[in-house]
Amino acid sequence: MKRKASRVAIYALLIIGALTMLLPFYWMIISAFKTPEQIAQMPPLWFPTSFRLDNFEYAMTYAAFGRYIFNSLLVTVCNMVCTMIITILAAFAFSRLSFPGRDVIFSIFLGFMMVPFELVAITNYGTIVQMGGLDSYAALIFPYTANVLYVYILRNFFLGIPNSLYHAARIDGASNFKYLTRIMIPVAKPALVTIALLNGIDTWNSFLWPMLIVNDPNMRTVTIGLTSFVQDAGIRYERLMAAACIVVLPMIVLFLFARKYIITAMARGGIKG
Amino acid sequence: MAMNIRLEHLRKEFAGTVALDDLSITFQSGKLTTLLGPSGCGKSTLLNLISGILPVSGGGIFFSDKEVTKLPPDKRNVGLVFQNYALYPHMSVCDNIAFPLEIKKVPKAKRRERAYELAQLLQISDYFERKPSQLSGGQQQRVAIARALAKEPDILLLDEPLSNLDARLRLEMREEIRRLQLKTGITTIFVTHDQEEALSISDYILLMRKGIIQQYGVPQELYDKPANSFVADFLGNPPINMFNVTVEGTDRLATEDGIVFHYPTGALEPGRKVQFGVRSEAFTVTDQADLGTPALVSNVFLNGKETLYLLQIGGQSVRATFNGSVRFGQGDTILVSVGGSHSHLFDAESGAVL
Repeated sequence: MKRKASRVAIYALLIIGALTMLLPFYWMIISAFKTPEQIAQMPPLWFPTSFRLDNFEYAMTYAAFGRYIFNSLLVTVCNMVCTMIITILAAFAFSRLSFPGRDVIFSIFLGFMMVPFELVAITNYGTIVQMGGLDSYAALIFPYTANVLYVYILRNFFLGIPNSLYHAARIDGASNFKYLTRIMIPVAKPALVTIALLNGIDTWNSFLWPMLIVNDPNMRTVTIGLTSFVQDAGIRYERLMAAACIVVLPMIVLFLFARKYIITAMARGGIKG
Repeated sequence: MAMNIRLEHLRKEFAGTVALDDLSITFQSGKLTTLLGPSGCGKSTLLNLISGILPVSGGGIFFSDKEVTKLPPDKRNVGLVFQNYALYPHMSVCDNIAFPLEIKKVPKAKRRERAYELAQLLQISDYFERKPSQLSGGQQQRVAIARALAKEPDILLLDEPLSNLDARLRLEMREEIRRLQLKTGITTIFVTHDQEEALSISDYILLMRKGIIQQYGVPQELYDKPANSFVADFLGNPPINMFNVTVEGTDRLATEDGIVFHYPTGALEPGRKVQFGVRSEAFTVTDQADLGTPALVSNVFLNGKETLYLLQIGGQSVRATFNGSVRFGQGDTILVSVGGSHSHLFDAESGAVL
């Protein structure tokens, strides 16, 4: 009986949590279909009466959201690929290879996590300006491909893989690189998917860095596109919400595809600690 | 062509502590040699030096005439079965066994065929497409052995391969390993701390203690002619009975509490303190009062083929086995004498056999 009561309480809490998360999202979607009058209506209109696509049309024609999405996709995918390569190799070196000063170097890297993003952004901006890299894809992609947190997560996962697996592969004739590609990466797949997704979401949502780098409207990423849309189109919430819907759509698609991996990765992450 | 393994003045240190020092020995080609000893004796270290997992600190390792001391593990052509099996969790049984062949770039169809042959040899072909997590411990062990054999290694190394199995399976796998070794004729090094396992499976046993070779020879030799009290004590079940005695003339040994054994002492000078090691089967019951040593039967354990008696001789508990025709009960006092090949005298200080 008591058990049942606690279950009810748990579910009630979970439902409240889910609603809190979903409500703004739902609001964004229905607002995108509303007319200007319906937006301002009091009490608010919870179920749209018509499905007008005007707002989407406006957003797509007035601002080049197609282009922004392309830019963001390109930057996110390239950044993800580079980040994964760097993270895997660094984590492998810090967990499996022995070289002088390994642990000291790793400690220094961990120390870098204390440095706030904004501080790095300023010096990076200086560097990019000197290299003449403003308004380039390279400047959007490369500066944040080395992430200490991801290296740390993956290194710990690699350390959790028994040594004997490494020795077995070496005795079976595999080189270090072959071991990495045939054994370690497949075994670490959950951790790798987690890191790739975190990184992808991070890059897609990044705002400050593209804001500093991008002046050319053609180079805008979705986040920058959205803010300039506000500036250009004025505060018309129905149009803004339509633009926001367009911007999150790729992330939702990604989530639907990777849902299985995200959930197993989180569950597995919990066990491995 | 089976290869022998020659170790010359091998030395291994771990951060200043010496695990093995100046170890020289040759393991016979085509034979199964067991590295035996208590934990921490350096047997696994020695195996890892042979496989190349650990670098040596000094000395040389030769496979027949080829020096491999500095070669990385992937260049030595050894097969190794790990204590925890170390199967690749994301690969099927087939892919696990075929992995060494995949590295050698053997075509896919061919390596599948070879893997299947090995799976049949080890009686795991029914689980060919399963993942390691879907197998029992014994089956995983068989996969590990099949994988170690897949690349046709010159040398097969087994690091306590049976210690994670239950008693019955251990017996079965022990026989299986021996059968395979005889069939393939591969030079095999088998590490264990279980003396019974070592005695039953080996062509040769190398008994080690604290990184030092105690004795090397065929099992019967180690059992019958131990080089020192450690070897005598380590081998045999029930363990050998040890008495601290003083030599009193050419055929008398006396314990501290005055118990006398009639036993030929050879040329040992009277008054010398020695250790008297007596295996349980070396005791016989006698009715000659002047030659026997009195013993009180304090417990009797039947275990089927023989009977183990716990005796009190002086203040010491002693294990003895008598042949089947002898019957005693708890509380009986009997006379026993010691003789035959399963009793030895050791130096009280060094433990060396006298």
